[in-house]
Amino acid sequence: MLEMVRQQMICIVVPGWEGTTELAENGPVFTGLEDLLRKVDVVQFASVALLPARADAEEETPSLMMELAIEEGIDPYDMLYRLICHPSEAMWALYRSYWPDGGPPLQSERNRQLLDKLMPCLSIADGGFIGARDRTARQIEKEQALLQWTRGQARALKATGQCGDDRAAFALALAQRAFQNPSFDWALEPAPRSYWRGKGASTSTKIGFVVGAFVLGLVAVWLVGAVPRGAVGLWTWLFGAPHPDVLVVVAFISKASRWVLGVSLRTALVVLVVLYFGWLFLVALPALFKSWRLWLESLWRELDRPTETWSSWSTYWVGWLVVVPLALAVVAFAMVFIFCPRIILDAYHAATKELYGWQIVALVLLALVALIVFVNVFSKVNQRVAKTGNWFFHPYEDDVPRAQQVHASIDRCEGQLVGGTAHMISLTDLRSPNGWSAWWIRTSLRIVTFAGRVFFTEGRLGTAPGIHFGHWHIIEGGRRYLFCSNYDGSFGGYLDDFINGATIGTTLAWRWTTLKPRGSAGAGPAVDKPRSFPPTRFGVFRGVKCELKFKSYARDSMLPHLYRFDKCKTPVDQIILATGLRDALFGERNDRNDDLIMRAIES
Amino acid sequence: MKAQEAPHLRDQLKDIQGMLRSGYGWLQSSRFWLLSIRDGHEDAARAWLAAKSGLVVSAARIGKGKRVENAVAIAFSYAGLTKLGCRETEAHPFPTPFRSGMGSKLREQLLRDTPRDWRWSDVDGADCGPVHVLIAEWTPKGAGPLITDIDEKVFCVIKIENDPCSFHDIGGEEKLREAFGFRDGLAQPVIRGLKQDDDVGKDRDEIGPLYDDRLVSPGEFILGYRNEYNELTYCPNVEGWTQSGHAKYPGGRFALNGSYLAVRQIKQNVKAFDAFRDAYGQEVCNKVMGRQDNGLPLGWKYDPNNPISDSQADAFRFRVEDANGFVCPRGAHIRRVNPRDSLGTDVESSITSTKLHRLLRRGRPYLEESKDDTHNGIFFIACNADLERQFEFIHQRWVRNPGFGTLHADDPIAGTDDPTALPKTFSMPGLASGQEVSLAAFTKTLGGGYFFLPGIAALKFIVGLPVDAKETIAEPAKVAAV
Repeated sequence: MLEMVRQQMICIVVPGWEGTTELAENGPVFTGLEDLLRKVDVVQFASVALLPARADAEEETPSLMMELAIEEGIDPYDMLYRLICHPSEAMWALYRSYWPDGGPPLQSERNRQLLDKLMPCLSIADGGFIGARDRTARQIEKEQALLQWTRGQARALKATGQCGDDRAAFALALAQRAFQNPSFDWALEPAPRSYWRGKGASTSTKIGFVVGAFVLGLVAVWLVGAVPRGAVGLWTWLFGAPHPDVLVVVAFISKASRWVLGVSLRTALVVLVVLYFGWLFLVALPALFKSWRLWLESLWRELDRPTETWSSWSTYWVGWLVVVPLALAVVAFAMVFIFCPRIILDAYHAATKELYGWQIVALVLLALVALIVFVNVFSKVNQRVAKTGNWFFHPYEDDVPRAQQVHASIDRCEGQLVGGTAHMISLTDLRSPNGWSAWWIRTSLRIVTFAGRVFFTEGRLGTAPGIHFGHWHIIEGGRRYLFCSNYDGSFGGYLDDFINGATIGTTLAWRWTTLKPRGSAGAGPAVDKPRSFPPTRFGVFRGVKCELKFKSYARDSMLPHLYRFDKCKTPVDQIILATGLRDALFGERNDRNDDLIMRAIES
Repeated sequence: MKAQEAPHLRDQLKDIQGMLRSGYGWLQSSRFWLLSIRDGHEDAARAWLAAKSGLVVSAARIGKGKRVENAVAIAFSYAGLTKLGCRETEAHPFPTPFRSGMGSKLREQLLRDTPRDWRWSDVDGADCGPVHVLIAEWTPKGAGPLITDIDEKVFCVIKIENDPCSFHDIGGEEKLREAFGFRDGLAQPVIRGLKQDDDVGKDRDEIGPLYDDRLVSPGEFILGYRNEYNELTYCPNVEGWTQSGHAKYPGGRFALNGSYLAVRQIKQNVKAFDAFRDAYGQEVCNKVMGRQDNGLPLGWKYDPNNPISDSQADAFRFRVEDANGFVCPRGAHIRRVNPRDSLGTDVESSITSTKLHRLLRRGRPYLEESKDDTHNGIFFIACNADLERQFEFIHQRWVRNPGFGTLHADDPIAGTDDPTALPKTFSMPGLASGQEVSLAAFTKTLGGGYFFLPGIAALKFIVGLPVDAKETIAEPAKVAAV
């Protein structure tokens, strides 16, 4: 499932670029690429950029990067083959300067050599998010045409005044006109959506999927033990006892199967208990008690606070001194329970053998009361200390030099795209040790990708709107980190959306990176001084909340594009609206659909 | 790493220009001077500005119970600061939007202003070259100009003259109206710790928790203070400032206590709007604007003849009462420029997000009378601390974006005047089948620029006043008891 998402977003990073290929708008390479990408019909976005070489790299020449965002279900290697072997030879025109002697005269040989060069440089996204572009470009274009047609018809219908003030009659008239128009026959079918955004979008389906997969797994494990046991029983009944070695092997398999079953069930129990307590403390108690909600909010706020204050400082250290040891203890207890439950049972029996049941219950209740009292007292003390501390100590924060600076080449790219889908390319370095950082980044990105695929099905990542394709790649043998994003809006607004709407995911995805000095490539910016990603707390707090630092970091990491392709310049909101309109016009007549139709024709 | 301490706003009021605290509503005449310093006359310009800096009013002299009889504010474009010899430091340069200027080709693209036909800008101008200095003056109704002695050998001058008909009696009080006849100056953010202190008790009593929707951190408008991210706003610095002795706050950089002004001269096509009003009626005009012409919200349920405060007139949200725009259409002017709680996933996140994109408006109506053209308009001034996140975001993503939300037209009042985009349409879902009206270009931008409104010590530094010239600025105008 994740592979399918990742395969839709690819980058081809070819080192050693010394070319002088002219990519000016309306030049032959530009128009060739434009023509090619339109004809292949499955590429939604593409861009070409130069990645400057690392300062410590042997080769000082930049790499030529081509980013492709393609439709679901297409093998990226097939995609590359289709692009290269297209009769227009647009890809050869782009990459020909890698062959200073002009390359082989035969087209087939040129294509083969180009394929051999590009295939090893192809990078499938390590993680990514697809917003409303889970539809094909053809679907988007057709639905946009339907939207425009409907708006025109609505205008004409209003001019006639036939439907008066009746919204339902108005919507019905529009639906009838659409239904009678043969050019919209394709819209009679409900809009195709990927499973998790269509039939699988409900919470019950998702829970059912997880439970079903788990139960099937348990059944499979049970069968691994049960089938050999049954076979031995059958053999014994038919032919007598089998060879003793066979019995030993079957007993081992059976025991292993039971052990895996036990571990799986106890793991599931632990997960359920953790989820229950998570729900209790983070959802139920805040909903029931205002004081709890305020306390929790202040806790998040203090941990996220970009300014160093007494209260945020003390909250952070209490986290280290109390919460981290507690969490480690819980994890250790869970591990022991999962793998060696006997130890816990024995310890429990030893501790309670002298006690009656009511005494055990009373002890548990007493412990709970003590915990609540402790938390309350601590909270009060913390608030008092925070108040006094903030009065006494001035809050301070680090200076952020050269903030709010944008390189001219980046500004120019933003200006060019202001009427369409905006685009960014960010190149950073992995923090040392690279392997460790790469492992964490990949793990984080898989979580982000999974969440984006299964949970954030309304085209928003967290609550950050407007993303078409966002993808991350670890390149150059785990040394560097490339992020490409196609989104609606201005870059500053985009980062604000992430800071406020997808704080944890963004911090997770970036925190293992750093920005090392590097030269410029082409007209792009250089990095003169190293920058660090803003400091994080417990992996997910603070980080991107440090607005100035984070925006400076992101800005300084950006590179301009040399070429940019956008199959259909339609914002996410309009894509979602047009699909909804299609289903509303050709669906049953009800208030919801009528409302959606009326909303779609608003200006 | 070097730590930076935040100054306390209350201790810095003497260094903050008064227009950040008040729009001088009691001073009903206003004039704006756009000055370009002629080459070779920089010293004379500096000397003249030094003399005029005595008219500048600080925030300490206004507020609850305190009013001045007249006021002046002085701001500089990036070209102006450079012309007067200010050089940014390598570590703390001015932000890119300010450096490139609103008049640049790039900003034309980014602000969706294409095509422009401007008379003046902070980057270039038809006759005078870039505007270097903006001087705003506020005087009592009918009073003559404060600035009278501009030497045209030193400066090339564009004067934006007061519209004498811009204040009207509403509920027994003189209130500002713009040229289309609507109340102006409502829905201003309240700066926490500054403006908040002037009326906080009364306003909070009147509108309750909705008051918090308007309460915005000072760093959103004044440089060097905490903004809505709880961070100190970025303060640029210039060479020589730290050593000059002007800095009132230890370690404070040049831009501390300053602000950026996004300025646009917007011509209002009153004839076209009147024709529209004649064709569709005042109610439709109100829908287009998003407010009643007397300033009341469209959904006002009480007696409109009972006078209410500006604070009460601004106490409403959209998401709960009017999510579909049945009362105030989703494309209406005031709903676009301040979407309140309507754009995010819930009320709280929407308000948090909207507070990152607020502007403090200090513009006034103007009247231009000449042989060729007589017209009214707004001299729009928006104070903000982050041009990109505030003014440019609002203009690019909300006002001029035809794809705002799920709509397909830009702002009905402040949208593009590009003839190829006309006529625009505007829907009013409040009517049963969503009436749609056709709009002309009601406004046209004639010029614009980004200006830096310095703190008073920084102003003295720019114009070359010595450190000890406190008296020059301290008490220039009489303070009138209220």
